[in-house]
Amino acid sequence: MIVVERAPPYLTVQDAGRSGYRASGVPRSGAMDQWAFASANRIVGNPPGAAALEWAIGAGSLRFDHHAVISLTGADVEATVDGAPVAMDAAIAVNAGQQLDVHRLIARRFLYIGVRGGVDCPLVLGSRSTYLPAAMGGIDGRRLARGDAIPTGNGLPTAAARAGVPAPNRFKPDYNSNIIRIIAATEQVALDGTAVEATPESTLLMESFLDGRYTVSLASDRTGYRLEGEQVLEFANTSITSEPVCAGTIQLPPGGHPIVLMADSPTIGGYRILGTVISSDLPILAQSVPGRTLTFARISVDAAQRLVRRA
Amino acid sequence: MTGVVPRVVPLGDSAVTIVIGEGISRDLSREVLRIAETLQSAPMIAEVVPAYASLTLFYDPLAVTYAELLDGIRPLVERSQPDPAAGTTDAPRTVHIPVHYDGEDLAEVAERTGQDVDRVVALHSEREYHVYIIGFVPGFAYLGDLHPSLILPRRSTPRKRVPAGSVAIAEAQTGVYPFSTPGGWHLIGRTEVKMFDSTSNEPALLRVGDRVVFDRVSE
Repeated sequence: MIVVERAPPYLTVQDAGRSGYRASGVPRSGAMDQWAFASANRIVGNPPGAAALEWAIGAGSLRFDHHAVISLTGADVEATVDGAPVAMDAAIAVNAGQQLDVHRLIARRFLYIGVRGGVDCPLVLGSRSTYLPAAMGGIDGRRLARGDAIPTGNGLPTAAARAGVPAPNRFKPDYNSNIIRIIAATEQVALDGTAVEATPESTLLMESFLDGRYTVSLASDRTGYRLEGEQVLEFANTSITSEPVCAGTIQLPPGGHPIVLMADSPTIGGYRILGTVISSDLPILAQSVPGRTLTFARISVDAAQRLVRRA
Repeated sequence: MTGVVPRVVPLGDSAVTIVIGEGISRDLSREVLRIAETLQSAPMIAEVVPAYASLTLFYDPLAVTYAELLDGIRPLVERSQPDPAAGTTDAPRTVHIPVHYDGEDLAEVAERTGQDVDRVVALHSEREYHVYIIGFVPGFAYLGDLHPSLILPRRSTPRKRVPAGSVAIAEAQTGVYPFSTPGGWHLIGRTEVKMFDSTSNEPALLRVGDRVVFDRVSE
């Protein structure tokens, strides 16, 4: 067990997310930064899907009632184990009774705490991820609070971890990049392969979106990140019938300020869709703190998929 | 098929939306569903999500490229044309939902639509609805079409908290809130039926294409 001695404002259990239930309205959820989450597991020798802790906003403390191997990835933090500073992105041995204190987040937004054996709460619809709007997954579908005891599994480390193979990080997302790559919704074709010209209005709207600089708003959470543009995007405000959306989908509500949907966003949306952030860059956006300025660039589906395969 | 070639719009690098028409109608919804059912069995597709006039396919780009996916689904979509000889093979399920018509906004709905409360209840319950789409929150089904004389715009100020089980209407649609969430629809009743059960392998009570009837519970 890991006991929450002092809860940060936001702490939940997350894994790779739920799949297969979108038609029932269940979003993927899962770690906001899937790269850092996967890295947390690799470092402690877990299989990729093991559940970890996702931590944001402030300081807090966890006490371990047994020996554990843990890792800290994602947001840069100042942390100690029984007062001794610990490193990010490294396996940390913690003895029974020791306490991990996260004193502050220095850069980025979401910290992942991987623990050997994984967080062992019940699977709900195939995942341990906490989905707050439906009080599902994790521990009672809620944020962790002081006094919670977090069960951990006793799985053996993977062969690579036993052999001391360091976690590969060749294709680490460039968290310092201010350019987020997207696939534009104007990249449409007819099913028979013939070209479908985007309307002049859509083309113009896409150009003005790509020309703009956007600040991540304070109104951004696991559901979506609001972007404040220097200029309001002008567009014909025709309401569309709702369509499926996913993490990364950029919607344009009537106010003209885009919203990028994130891990816990509803499965359908009724606002105009500009495009979708590529999987490889979603971690960069997820880790962007309010106030950060970003621009968006278009790439093709093929190019985005080559990046996914390279990783 | 309406004779129009479906349009393919990428939804990022791991999903694609197939747009087969425009607007909202039961015929279009059934066509979406027929294609969705055909594609459901395609091994390259992880998830199929039907919507009003489109469906979205989720896939793993490590297993299949975009071009391979489109090549694979093209014949399946073409083949999913209705076969007049076969008739309707899968009749939709009809799901009955018992409702206590005592919603907070019932009197206001009656007043604004210029009819008495009994008439509002009759118009809402004496009708068979079609599930067009599921979303907003898990298990929330958008049902239509509402009787034209019950159509009202959404509330100008959404409620911060609508109780779970609330039966509500807005525009030409009706639905049941599965969870206590914010909501802008007019509350006309409530049901004890569980709309979403995360312990079930099919967690949403309703699925797209179902027929739904609200049965008035006499107090």
